[in-house]
Amino acid sequence: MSDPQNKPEKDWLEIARRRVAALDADAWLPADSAEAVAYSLTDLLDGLRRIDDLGLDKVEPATMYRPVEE
Amino acid sequence: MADSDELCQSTLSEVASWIETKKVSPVEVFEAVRRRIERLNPTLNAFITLTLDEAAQEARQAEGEIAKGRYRGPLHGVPVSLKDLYATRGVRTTAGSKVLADWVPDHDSDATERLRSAGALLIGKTNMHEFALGSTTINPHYGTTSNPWNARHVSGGSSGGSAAAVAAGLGYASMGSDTGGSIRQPAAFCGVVGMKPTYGLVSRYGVFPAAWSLDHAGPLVHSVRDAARVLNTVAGHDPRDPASVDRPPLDYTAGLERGLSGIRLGVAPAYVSEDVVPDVQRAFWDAVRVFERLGAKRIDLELPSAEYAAVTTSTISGSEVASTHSRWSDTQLADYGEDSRRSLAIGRCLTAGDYLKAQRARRAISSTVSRELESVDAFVWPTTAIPASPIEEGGDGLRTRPHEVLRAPHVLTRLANLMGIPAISMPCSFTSSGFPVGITVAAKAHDDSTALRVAHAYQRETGWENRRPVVQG
Repeated sequence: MSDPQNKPEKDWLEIARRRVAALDADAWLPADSAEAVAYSLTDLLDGLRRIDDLGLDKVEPATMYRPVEE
Repeated sequence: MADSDELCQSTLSEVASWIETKKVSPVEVFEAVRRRIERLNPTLNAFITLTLDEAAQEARQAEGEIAKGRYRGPLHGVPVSLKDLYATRGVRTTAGSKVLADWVPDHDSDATERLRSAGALLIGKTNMHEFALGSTTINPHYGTTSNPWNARHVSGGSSGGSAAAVAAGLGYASMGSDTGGSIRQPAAFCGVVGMKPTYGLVSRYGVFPAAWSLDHAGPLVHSVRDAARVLNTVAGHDPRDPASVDRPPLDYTAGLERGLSGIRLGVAPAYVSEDVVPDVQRAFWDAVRVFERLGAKRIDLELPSAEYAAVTTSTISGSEVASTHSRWSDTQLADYGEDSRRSLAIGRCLTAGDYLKAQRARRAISSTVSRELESVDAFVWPTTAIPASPIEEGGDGLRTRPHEVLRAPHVLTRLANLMGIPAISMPCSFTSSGFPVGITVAAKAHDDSTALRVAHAYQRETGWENRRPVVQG
């Protein structure tokens, strides 16, 4: 069994490209925009990876209509 | 009394006091604003729909009521506008889109109702970034709203028409909406005050949604006192908005003159990073020194990186926006502008797991920041990292790095949406090129009064809000 602490770096651009392709990008976007969207999505997905720095293991999601911590 | 243009460029509070004391009538005020709109709106394109004939009738009605001693309050007889995503009964409401180009609501939004009840004159629906899905108000269907300080630059967005209208004296207040900074960023770019109140304080009923859990409604005006006055009118519980908070009404003007003595003012140096251009950094630190001189005690805060709030809000808003729009994007995709289609495509590519991870991060960030905020009464940061960009460069300041969505110059606004805390952007200087610079004053949730008090003390001392652009008509 592999060590979860030693996960290989994901290729976020490749993942983003696959997601954009699955969207049927031709219908959604001009031909030259699909790759641009994939790059923006890569930025977002890589940012989500870095969010792990916040230590989310024991954190439950914020509830929809009461995000303010009172 | 001031001449017609000076009258239009007065603050809401000034014109309200003149109306109350009958130094000027609502019809005189309205006619001055009407002439100015007819002269300057062709340059600015701040409005999608004008309702001047209806407003003229409302002005005559207000004049009659006030003459008979039935003065309703500081918005009575005052011309105001609404971003074109506030539902208005009998007046088309496009949300800046082709999809809703012909939508004529059969109801008013809650804010529309409250403004009408207060006797405000509704002069029109302002231009905006399509469906509030961007920050430039470069709109493929209704044209671009120009910045009143330089028509070749953007007004910001998504409430760009509201900010430009107020800055140029085309009405004294405008209601905007803010999902990630869409009130405060255009306010900063156009040199006006923009307030995003605490989440749920102002009902979003009848306000076309962008992202439910991040959307806020609030005013754009000239002064902090004006913001407090509009908030007095539009705040209040509304069971039609599931996020609406049920609290006793407050008078938000009551504490404005209390000054800064004893105020603990948080500053997050991490929010003044290398992405913030030197003119904005200088303006910000100058403003911090003003706050200290007025009696505030500066306390440096250690906040999580602005990038965490940016990725979290981008993921949440992308997912929620994609859900909001699925009813149209599946069938009317061609009616969306290319810019909006890109935004919706990104949202559709996010997974449920991404969304829930972002909502977990939201709770973690909110908890961390809330703990830091226990040591302060208010805190400040630069509203945006850059001033208004040229329209021909796309207007979003990302010309040289278009895909770096998390380093966009406006991500500094996001934390306030994530936490739902009140945040006010107000002008604090001008760049060497003559563009306004904004500073944000935020406070704890439901302490909108302190944010207003701190911001007002700064305005009373500095007067940056009194500068007006010269718009060529």
